[in-house]
Order: sequence, then C-alpha cells, then structure tokens
Amino acid sequence: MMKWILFLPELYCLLMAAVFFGLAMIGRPNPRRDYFAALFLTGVSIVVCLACVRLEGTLFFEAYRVDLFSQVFKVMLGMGLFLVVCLCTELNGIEERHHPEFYLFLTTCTLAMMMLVSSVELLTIYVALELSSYSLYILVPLRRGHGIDVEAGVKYLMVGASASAVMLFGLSYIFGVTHTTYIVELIRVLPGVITTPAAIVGLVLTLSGFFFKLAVFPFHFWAPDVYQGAANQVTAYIATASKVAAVAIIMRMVALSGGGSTYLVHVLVTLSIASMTLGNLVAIVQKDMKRLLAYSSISHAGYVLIGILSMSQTGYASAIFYALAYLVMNLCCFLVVVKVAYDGSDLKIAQLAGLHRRSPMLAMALMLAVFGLAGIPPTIGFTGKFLVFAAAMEKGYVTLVIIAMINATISLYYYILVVKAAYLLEPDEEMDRLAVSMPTKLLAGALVTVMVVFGIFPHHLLEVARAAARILM
Amino acid sequence: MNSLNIYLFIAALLFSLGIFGVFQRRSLIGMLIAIELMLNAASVNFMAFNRFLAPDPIVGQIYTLFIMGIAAAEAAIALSIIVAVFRRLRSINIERAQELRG
Amino acid sequence: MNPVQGFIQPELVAQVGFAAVVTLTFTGALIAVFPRNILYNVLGLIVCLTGVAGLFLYLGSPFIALMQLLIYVGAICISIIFAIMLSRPLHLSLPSRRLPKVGLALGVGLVVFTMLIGIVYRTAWQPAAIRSSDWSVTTLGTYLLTRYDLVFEAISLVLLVAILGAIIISGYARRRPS
Repeated sequence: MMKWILFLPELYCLLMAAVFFGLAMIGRPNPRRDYFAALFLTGVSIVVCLACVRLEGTLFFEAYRVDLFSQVFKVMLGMGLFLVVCLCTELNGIEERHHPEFYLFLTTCTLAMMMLVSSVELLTIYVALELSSYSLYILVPLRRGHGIDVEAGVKYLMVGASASAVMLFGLSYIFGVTHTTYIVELIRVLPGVITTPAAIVGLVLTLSGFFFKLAVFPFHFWAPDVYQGAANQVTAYIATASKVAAVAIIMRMVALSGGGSTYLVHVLVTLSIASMTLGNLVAIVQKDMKRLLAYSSISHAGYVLIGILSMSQTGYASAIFYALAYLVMNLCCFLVVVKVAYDGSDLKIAQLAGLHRRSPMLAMALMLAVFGLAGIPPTIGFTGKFLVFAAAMEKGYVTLVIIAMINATISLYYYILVVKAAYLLEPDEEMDRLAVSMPTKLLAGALVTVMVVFGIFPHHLLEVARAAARILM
Repeated sequence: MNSLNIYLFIAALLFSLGIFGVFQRRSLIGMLIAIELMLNAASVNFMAFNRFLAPDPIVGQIYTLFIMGIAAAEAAIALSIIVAVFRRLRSINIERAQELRG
Repeated sequence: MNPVQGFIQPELVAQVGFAAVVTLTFTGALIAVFPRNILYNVLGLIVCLTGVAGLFLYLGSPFIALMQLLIYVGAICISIIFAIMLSRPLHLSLPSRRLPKVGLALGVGLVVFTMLIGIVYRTAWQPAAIRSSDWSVTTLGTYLLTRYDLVFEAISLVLLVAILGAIIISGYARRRPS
C-alpha cells in the first residue's frame, strides 16, 4: 500500500523548498527566473492538493491524520500561496538577491501550515506552529530598508515568542490532566474533566498561541505594525494563508472541549466582542491602507470566532466557509495594494484617489473586495457573515449576534471611505494610468467572479465545508 | 521534595516572573530572557507531570528536549534580528523601537 | 559501621541538595528579571537554568539535566552574551525605570501567579492507572525515531530555517547603507 501518497502535498512543498534553496545558491540574482519558477511550482501545488483532497488515513504512528478537514485546508493554503506568488511580478519590496530566499520561506511556511492542519499530536502541532512562525519572522524584516521593517520584525517575534511560551505552559497542564497528547484520546478524555480549572486554563492558554496567529484581541497589537512594516506581498501572505491555518487549528482545539464548557464559551465570546469592537473602532482613523486592513483583520478574527464558539457542525462549517471567503476577499484587496504601490512602498488611502480612471479594473476589484469585507450582498463576504451569524443564532447567542451586526455597521463607514477614495476623490496632481498586465486583469477578474458567484450560489462550497466540519465532531 | 505541588509551584513562579519580565519591556534581550524563563517553566511542568502522573515517563522528557531545541532556534532568530535592530538604532531598548506605534 | 556514613544521612543530603537547587532557581530567576544591568540578567538566567537542571535531576532524568546544561547554559546563554558584546556595551548605560510600566508588569505577574497557584492547589492531580517504569535513554531514542519521527524531522527543518534566517538578516543589516 502506498502510504506516502497521503503525504504528497507536504512532500511537494518540501521539493519546492529544495528548488528555491538551490536557486538561492546559484549564480547572479535573476528575479524573472525566480518568479516564473515559483509561479509554475506553486501552480502545480494547487493541482497536487486538489488531487489529494479525497485521501484519508493516518501516518507517523497516528500523529498525522489526512482527512477531508485537513485536505480542504491544504487546498486553501496551496491556493493562498499560489495567489500570493501571482502578486510577485514586481517584487520591489525585497532586494533582488533575496528573492529565492523569499520564496523559500514562503514555501516552508506553507509546508508548516499544511502540517499544522493535519497534525493530531500536540508536540507535532507545536513544532509545526513554530516552523510557520519562524519563516514569517524572517520574511518580515527582509523588506528593502526604510527603517520600520526590522522593528516590525522584532515586535512580531517578541509577541509571537511570548504567545508560544504561554501556549506551551497550557499544553503542559493539558498533559498533566489528561496524561495524553494525542487529539484522538484528548477528545475522549478532555470533555470529562473540562470543568476542572487546570483543564480549562490549560486549553485557554494553549489557544492563545493560535490567537496570536489570528490576531485575536489580547495578542493583536503586532498586526498593524507588521502589516505596515512588511513588504506588501509578505503582508498579503500573513493576512491570508496564515489566518486560514490559524482558523483550522483553533477549530481543532476548541472541538476538543466537546462543547461542554460554558466557561470556554464565555472566554471566546469576550475575546470575539473585544476583537471586533477594537478592530473596527481603531480602523476608522487609519490613513494607511495596510494598517486599515490590519485592523479589519482583527475584527474579522472576531467574526470567525463567533462561528467557532457555536461549537456545532454548522458553526464549524460556517467558520471554514468564512475563512475561504476571507482568503479570497483579502487577496483581492492586496492585489490592488500591490499593483497600485508597484514600487513596493506603503499605500496611503489618499493615494487611491482617481483609481477608477487610472485602472477601472482594479477599482472595480477593490470595490467588490471591500464590499465583501463589509458584508454587503451579493458578495461572498455577506454569505459568510450570514452563515456565521445563523450558526450563532441557532445556539441562542442573540446578544452576541446583535453586537456583531452593530460592528458590521460601524465597519461599513471605513470600508466606504476606501471606495470613496477610489471612485469619488480626485488626485491633487494628475496621475498616469496604471499599466495593468493581462494576467493581472485575468486574476482580478477571476477573484471577482469567485467572490460574486460563490456569494450567490454557496451551496457546493458549503457542502464541502459541512463534510469537513463533521470530522471534528 | 517528593511532591508534585512543589514542582508545580516552582514552575508557576518561573512563569509569572517571565510574564513580569515580558510586560516590563525594558530591553529586547531582557524580554528574550523572560521568554526563556517561561519556556523553562513549561519544561519543569512537563518533567514533573512526567515523574508523578504520566503513564509513560518518556513522553515528558521528549517534550522537554524539543522545547530546548525550539528555544535554541528561537534564540538564534531573535538575536540576529535584535542585532540588526541595534545596528539601525544604536540602542537595544524597546522604547526606541516604537517608531510605528499606534 | 563507617562513622562517616552514620553522620551523613543520605536522606538529609538529598534534602539539603534539593533546597540548594530550589534556592538557585529562585534567586537566578529573580536576578534574571529585576536588575537593570543586562549582564546581571543573563548571569541570573544561567544560575536559574542550572537550578532547573538540578530539578530535572531530582525528577529522575540525568540525561535531560545534562542536555539542559549543554543546550541552555552552554549554547543559548552564551549566544545571548555574544549578542550583548557585539552590540554597544549595554551594561554601561542603564535603561530608565518607569514606575507605571513596572507597576503594571508586577500587577499582571501577581495576578497570573495567584491564578496558577490556585489551580495547582485546587486540582486533584490523578496519576495514570498503569504507569511504566522505563526511564532508559535507549527507549527515549527509540521513541524519537518511531512515535516522534515526524517531529524529529520537522525540528531539523526548524533549525535549518533559523540558521538561514539568522544569516540573511544579519548579513542584510550589515550591507545596508545607513
């Protein structure tokens, strides 16, 4: 029996990493070569992930499980990686001789996240999480210098290292209470002892390591600085693929509690409300597009938590759907950011002025993506929010849903400001038309189509999400 | 000396001191030291549970071993970034690294 | 009977040793966070980690205790000292002590501590029903290459990424025009 085929997506990522490692060592810097190699390899990785989506089985002495849940997330991660690489045509934010390393660390990070969503043993989860974090810690200060990059890197690292130390302490309590580190056994044992303080504190502390990745409230303050300080493409990756993996692993850990702990629900509700409110309120005053997206990501982490804390199959399914929706919408936003700030600089919202004349296609993509983030129908963002709120209503969390809706309304304000800048404001001085290449137009068109079509007809995706969520129960 | 609670108490104290060190944010290397204290608190916990409770006394040791490996990798990255920050700013205090606060 | 054996009771020696190790850990940890001179902090960390290695000895694992000394004290602490020395002599200029910040940190630390102590003493820790007594390093090695082989491979990747990253970041900073 060919067991290694279960491990194919990861092996393929490893191969990609090896190729970039080789490219990093040979000859003079050649950005075109690196870009096309990356584009081709990551394109194939989506195919590999899709081909493996139906596989099931366990590997490495039950420490690694391949099932629909993990494979769906691997497809999303592969897609995220490919789309981020698509944005790298003008990788001006990073020195040319470091391009192979840039792709190398993107690949190792994706590999680590694929391992993260498949691991069912706590030590494996921890090491995979660290591998993905370290790759990102290095990517952030790689930006071609204008001062704030290294400091953003240091802030990211310090918050991340503290969060992972806290998480490890939580893991030790879980180990002490349950005597096991395998998720399969934890699901059996932990719901029985979830009322003891040690178990619940252990679980909450453990979750904090993942909350850091998702930028949930007490671990959120790295996000704005890192989003602004990192190169645009790196930010795009942190904002999309890394969030998707975090959602997956948070679901797996929350599912461990078996839904029997009101205390855990209270903690998650508090964090969710705090993240939404704080993210939305601070986003209003932002002038920098990437900082705005950072605060918006904090508030979106709150919305995803609503789906997760419902702890029902519909809740988890809605969270998976929301993660996918968020991936597509955010990538579309970053496509515009990267193309408008093509020299690799930061993008002020004011710089969007007159975008509808400089490039109608990008302006349209930005408008739809921003409407999606705001949750306006008929975009996929509306469907995602609707599903998440419906799952919470099913459980009777009416107050929480009302607060979330108020928040969504507040968020409309700053999203509209972005659209207004792109469509209604005129630039102070006349700007040239943006040269948007054909592949970029196709990519923008594809993302827009996905956002609208799956916003109106979400059934197929939702079926897959439900089937994946069933595995967690 | 043969009771689990003593070790858990020591670990809790180390962890809290680590938290204190991180929150006081005096210097980047100071924060790194505090994080090492927190990691060690987790190690002590694992070893203590391993000695007094766990069905298999190997698992806790393996965790401790891996925590050390991860800590070494973390220190390597952290120190290289800190040295890079220092070269830019000529100071290693985190207050100066707040150019983009907000 | 040997008079010395009668005078020095093994039990007492073990207890004195334990007290010494715990004291070492505590004083080390305190020195690691409180003084303002960064060199004292590192020395405190070294003392504390040595104490923790002693604790591991009492917890029945000489191997891990040795690893703790080698990796933590021998590698990590020394590299921290190197980083300090590579930077400006930091111990010459003490960072200012800001009372509100220290107060906040003390508050948070105390809250965490009381919470954890409450948990530790209020939980009835149950030992597992069946407990193996196999502490040998051989089994540990076997586990590393069987049950934990994926982690074992993964951590090699982690170290590779860390080394590559450290090289790139430090080299990058040096060649950057300032």
